[in-house]
Amino acid sequence: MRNISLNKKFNADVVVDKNIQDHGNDPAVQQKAKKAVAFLKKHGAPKSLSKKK
Amino acid sequence: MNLEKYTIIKGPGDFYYEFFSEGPKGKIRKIVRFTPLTDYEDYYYNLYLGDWLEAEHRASDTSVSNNKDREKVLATVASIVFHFTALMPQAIIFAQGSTASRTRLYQIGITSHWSEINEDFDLHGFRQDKWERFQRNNNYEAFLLRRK
Repeated sequence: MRNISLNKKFNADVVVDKNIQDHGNDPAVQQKAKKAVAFLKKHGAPKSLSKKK
Repeated sequence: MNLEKYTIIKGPGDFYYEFFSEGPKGKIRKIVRFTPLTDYEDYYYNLYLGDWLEAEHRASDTSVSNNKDREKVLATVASIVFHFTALMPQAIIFAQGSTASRTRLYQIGITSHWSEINEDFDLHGFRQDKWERFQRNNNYEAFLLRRK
């Protein structure tokens, strides 16, 4: 586990489980991502968020 | 003040997290997935929050769990966002509830902890057909956030 510092208020116990199944390919998850793409294509995004160095 | 949160279980990759909501409806497996939006050259990710329905072997972000732990669930999701963006500081996260009322819940969570969120994130909300910097008194249809 990489050592990362979190905002104190939002610090939480994080346990890595190498055997956990990533459900990223679930249809509901994919559908939500498609909706996000459609939303951003339609409405764009604030330029200030882009390509921050 | 430390918020009450559930223990977060992280998958071996950087994009997938789970935790178990506990309340009068029992133990409910919640999944949080950051899906890269590959149509964009920037590092856009969609935030998915849903229940894992074991019997149907599928995820759902429309099921109503009503487990009386809304604050704890929102605080846990916020912690996951902090964790993910610590690993991926360039990530731009898109968040929108599956319904207007769920988007409103996100807004309530953000507003409740605005000072901490504002310390670490650039947060924008979408309303009246445009993006603007998040303001606590406005209602938004969707959110975009990035680490400062």
